[in-house]
Amino acid sequence: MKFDNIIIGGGLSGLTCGIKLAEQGKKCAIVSSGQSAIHFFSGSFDLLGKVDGEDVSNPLEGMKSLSEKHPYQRVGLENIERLTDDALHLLIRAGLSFTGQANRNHFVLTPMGIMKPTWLTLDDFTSFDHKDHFPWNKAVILNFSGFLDFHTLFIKDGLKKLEVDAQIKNISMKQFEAIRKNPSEMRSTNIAKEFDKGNAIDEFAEKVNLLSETTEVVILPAVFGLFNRNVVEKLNQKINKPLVLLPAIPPSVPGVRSQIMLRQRFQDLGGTYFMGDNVEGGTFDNNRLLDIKTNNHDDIKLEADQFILASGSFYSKGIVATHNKLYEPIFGLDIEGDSDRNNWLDEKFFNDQPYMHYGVKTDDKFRAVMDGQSIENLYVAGSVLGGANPLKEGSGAGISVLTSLHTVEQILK
Amino acid sequence: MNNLIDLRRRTRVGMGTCQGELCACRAAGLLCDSLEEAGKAKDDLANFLQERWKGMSPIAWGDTINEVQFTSWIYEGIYGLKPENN
Repeated sequence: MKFDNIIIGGGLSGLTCGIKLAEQGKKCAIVSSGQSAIHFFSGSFDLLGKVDGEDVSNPLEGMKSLSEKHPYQRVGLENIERLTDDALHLLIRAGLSFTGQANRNHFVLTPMGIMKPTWLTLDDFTSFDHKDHFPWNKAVILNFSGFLDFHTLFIKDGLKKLEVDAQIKNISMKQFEAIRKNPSEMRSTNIAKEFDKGNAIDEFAEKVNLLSETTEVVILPAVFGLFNRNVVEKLNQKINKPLVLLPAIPPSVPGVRSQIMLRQRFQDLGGTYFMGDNVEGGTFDNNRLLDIKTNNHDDIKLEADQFILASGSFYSKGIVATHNKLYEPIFGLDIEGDSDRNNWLDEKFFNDQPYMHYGVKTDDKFRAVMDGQSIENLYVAGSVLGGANPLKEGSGAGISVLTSLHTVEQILK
Repeated sequence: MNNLIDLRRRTRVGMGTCQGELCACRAAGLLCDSLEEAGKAKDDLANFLQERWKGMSPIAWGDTINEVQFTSWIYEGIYGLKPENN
């Protein structure tokens, strides 16, 4: 099978590459092994939240102090603003509605009741302008009886510190009795499926209205709209007070929905999405990748003019660590990382962990390097790239999306 | 028994398949009910993660390092948990 471009990885980065290329008329395939980090999407995309432990208010300014090895610096700060704009519009064309600006972080409330700076926030969720006060001071936090993945007391504690008086109440409904019988079934996606059917919304909204008569806002876990895109909108119409949704423990319902919508956008543009398939290796000739072999395609080789590796970081198995080495498991590409395992970790869990900076080595055009030689048609994008600690910086989604768009621009040149 | 580390000694919570990725937060949420201050329960959760890290870091390669990275993203990335004064 022959494509213009093949992307390895179906997460945020792979989908961004696929959509952008397909929008430019390229015949693309994405090979995805299955779950990706979008399944624990918080509802916001971070661009740059912190530099050296200090809050960043303008990410575009904050980037200027990043090291020259940082993916943003390598993309080129002169390109970043244009690419952030591109990213937002790509998401909008996929039917996802986000608010936020690249030159000014806003804040979101986390499920621990802590305020966090971020770039783009999905419309399901509430953006705040300030981190030290809310536009309201009376809230009710509602949870589903028996749902252990939403911690109302933590939220109440955080709100209290910012002078919001919050009450906690539970809602029981017969629609959830069946899944409640088994605690391992009482998960966000199963609650969402009940709402998707449409028959729980009216009764739920009625109960919420009764319980929120004396408050200004209603805080709920974000368990609405898995396959059905309109549940949040309907709830907003039927519930009298403004809703503030907060992420529950993963899997993230808005995350799964976003992933489905991005995949759908890619397929609507004519892209081929190979789901649940794993790339086992490739044929190289003269520093070019000719084709790849996958688990589900046996001896049918997948050929392309250019390939993009967007296979994610350790948890997505884009990089693998054994007791004595780090490696890139598909092609055996060169790695940017310490070869001595004693240097991978810091003894304090919350410190800047060195392993978080590791990734696949690339040349100045974001092309992979193997045995010291650039592979001229194998590009690398997203969190499989090293050079940053996206967790400490609050830059995970930004690095994924912007390096993807940059890589696509290299290919289209 | 009023902290997660003691709860772990009794029940081995945090030492099963998810290695504290998800269960620690569920347990902390429940334990929070019995504590006077929710802020303490958050710090207790942070302590618990640090304590588990001691047990995991000597073997943090293979699947363990993948799980640790996932755990960090959940607690620090999504929840914004800090080592102390939460």
